[in-house]
Amino acid sequence: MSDKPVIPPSGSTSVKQSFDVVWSAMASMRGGMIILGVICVAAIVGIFKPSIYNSLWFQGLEGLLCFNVASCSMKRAKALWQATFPVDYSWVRGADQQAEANSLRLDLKTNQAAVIAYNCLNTMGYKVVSLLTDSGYYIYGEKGKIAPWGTFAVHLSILFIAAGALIGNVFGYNHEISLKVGSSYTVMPQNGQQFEIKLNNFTTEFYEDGSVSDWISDTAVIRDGQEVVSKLIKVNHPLSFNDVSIYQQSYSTSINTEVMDGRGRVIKQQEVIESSGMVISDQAGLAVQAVRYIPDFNPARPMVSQSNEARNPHVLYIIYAGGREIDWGAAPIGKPIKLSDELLVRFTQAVPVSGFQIKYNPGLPIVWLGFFLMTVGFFCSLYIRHKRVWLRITDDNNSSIVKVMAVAGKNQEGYRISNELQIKLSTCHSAVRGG
Amino acid sequence: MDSQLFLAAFFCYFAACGLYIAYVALENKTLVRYARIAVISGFVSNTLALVVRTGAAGRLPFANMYEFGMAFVWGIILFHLYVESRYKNNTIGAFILPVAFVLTGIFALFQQEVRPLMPALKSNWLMAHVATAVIAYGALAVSFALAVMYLWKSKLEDDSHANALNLLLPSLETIDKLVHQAITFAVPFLTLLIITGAIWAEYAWGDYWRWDPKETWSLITWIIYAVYLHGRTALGWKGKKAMNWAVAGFAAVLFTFIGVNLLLPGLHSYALSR
Repeated sequence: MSDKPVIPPSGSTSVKQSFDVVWSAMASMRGGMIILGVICVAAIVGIFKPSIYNSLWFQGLEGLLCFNVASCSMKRAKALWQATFPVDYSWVRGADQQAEANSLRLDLKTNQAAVIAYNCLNTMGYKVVSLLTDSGYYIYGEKGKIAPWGTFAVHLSILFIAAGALIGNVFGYNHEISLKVGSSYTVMPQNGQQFEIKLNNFTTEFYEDGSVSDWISDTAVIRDGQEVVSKLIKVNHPLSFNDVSIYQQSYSTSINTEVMDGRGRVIKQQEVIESSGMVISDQAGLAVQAVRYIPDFNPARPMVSQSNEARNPHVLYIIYAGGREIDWGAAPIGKPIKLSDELLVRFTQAVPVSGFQIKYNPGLPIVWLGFFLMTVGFFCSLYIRHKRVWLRITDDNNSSIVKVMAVAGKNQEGYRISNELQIKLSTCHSAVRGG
Repeated sequence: MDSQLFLAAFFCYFAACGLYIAYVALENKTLVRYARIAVISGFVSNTLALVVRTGAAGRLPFANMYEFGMAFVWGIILFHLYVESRYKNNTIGAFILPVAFVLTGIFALFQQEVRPLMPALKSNWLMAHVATAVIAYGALAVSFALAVMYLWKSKLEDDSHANALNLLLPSLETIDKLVHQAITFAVPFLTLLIITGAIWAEYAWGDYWRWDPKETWSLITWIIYAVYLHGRTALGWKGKKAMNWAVAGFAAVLFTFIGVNLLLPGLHSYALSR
């Protein structure tokens, strides 16, 4: 026992120690596994409460994971670099540090044995380095060097994906618009000249069974009054122009709705998007809702259009008064419906409307790069085995003693390679002796 | 026609399952021969069901849960045939076939007529996405079955009365290695499955990630296997601990594929469309 007095740590030292403990835990692999577990639990909760995904603490968790991945990768990078690009050959002597080894005696001089061993490893696909020392030959063979880099790439890819997502969130934009056929919208990119997107036409294509095959927006990009690009935008086929992407997102019908007085004069007119409504009188709580546009109306099946052609166009509507439904029905295009003794309403025209998502995401190429790195990294790290073999050849009364040591991630695998190599060496030796 | 063929596959897998289990119980090698005939008949029938469905739909049968289910089970059996022939052990079928048989039964319940593709599914990414799912899920199903085999065998090893049966099964070390091999084979494809889905979503919906329940659960599945790989390679997880992770991982796979479709509506709801 020491007689020295024990000095209790001061408050600041204890805080520092605690901080160091937390810091090293957060930067460790075990810490990363715990963070992943917490993210899993939070993600499950988020299914029922999606606002979690945008919350600061969830983003903090993602940030913590990135910190963990970055610190673990940095720790690993130096060793990985030194192993891949060695500056001297002292590591070849790694054979001395391997505790267990198979050994065999070759009835050859050490230099002859070294040549056989060198060639033998070469034929097995190893990249071979040899070193002659006072105590004999050291031969080192390695293959699958890229495998550890694969693991590194996978971790790096997580940082790329996170960086891309962050850049997209901070510098990108994303909004939705609805365009009536014939109308246009001005897009003002943050990093370029503004341009207009014009919807020339919108069609819905159907399969024979009546299900939707495609929604097609015939669009044109106009800059300085000139059409510079035209494209049929469909689901899975967005339009990209000047780093801005325009996606087909929804569709509807704009119904021109007019309110008339008792003498047939139009007193109010409004474009009503299908399923929305138009307030006629605030005081009376009078409103009309254009529920659905039916291009080919059949009274027997009023909710379903007989075809996509406007053969008998009707609008299904609901009238509200005092906040309550008072009437509903199907009105032919152009024919007035009586609301009261003084008021009439009519639907005069139905024009297709296409809904677009307009998006600028400068982080996307970085996310794609992350995806690429992750894929390549996984295949390299899990499908390629990093194999290393050390041989030490020493002289023993004009014979050679070859010690074979191998490592391939796991010791057992190392023994297997070691044994294989030993058999091959014996075979090569026999062939040489026989020849 | 494809539904009858798939049903025939179901009965073949059921028979094979029973025969393999009977072999493990009775150690009668003749049963293995019949089990193998049943598996191969089921596999042929399953393949024909996929071919007929492809012909009828005019596209690869990857559009809904029933169609993908046929391919998923086909993948499991393909891996089973490979593992059985590679490792020459007849008891493996007693663990893999029950998984294949139960899944065939579940997917057969979702049988539906061939329908044309909805606009979101009309993409070349569909094939890449589902093909990677067949490979990844097939291998993970095998890893699950073998992990169950490991857990059962380790229990048997504690029971001195079950020595004969114990000897019939591969060694714990071999099973452990097989489970790990199946998972390491599957994980790159599981990653590709998520990545192809994300790229496709970017083209179809304008967002590579929306925290849709399917996406969320696929990420959870991926995280479970990522933790397993870290534990295995860096912390030396082996044996029961590693097997429990393999079981949990496949439970997450099943929930991602079946549970989410049934319980959590989202952007992937078309999987159940009728």
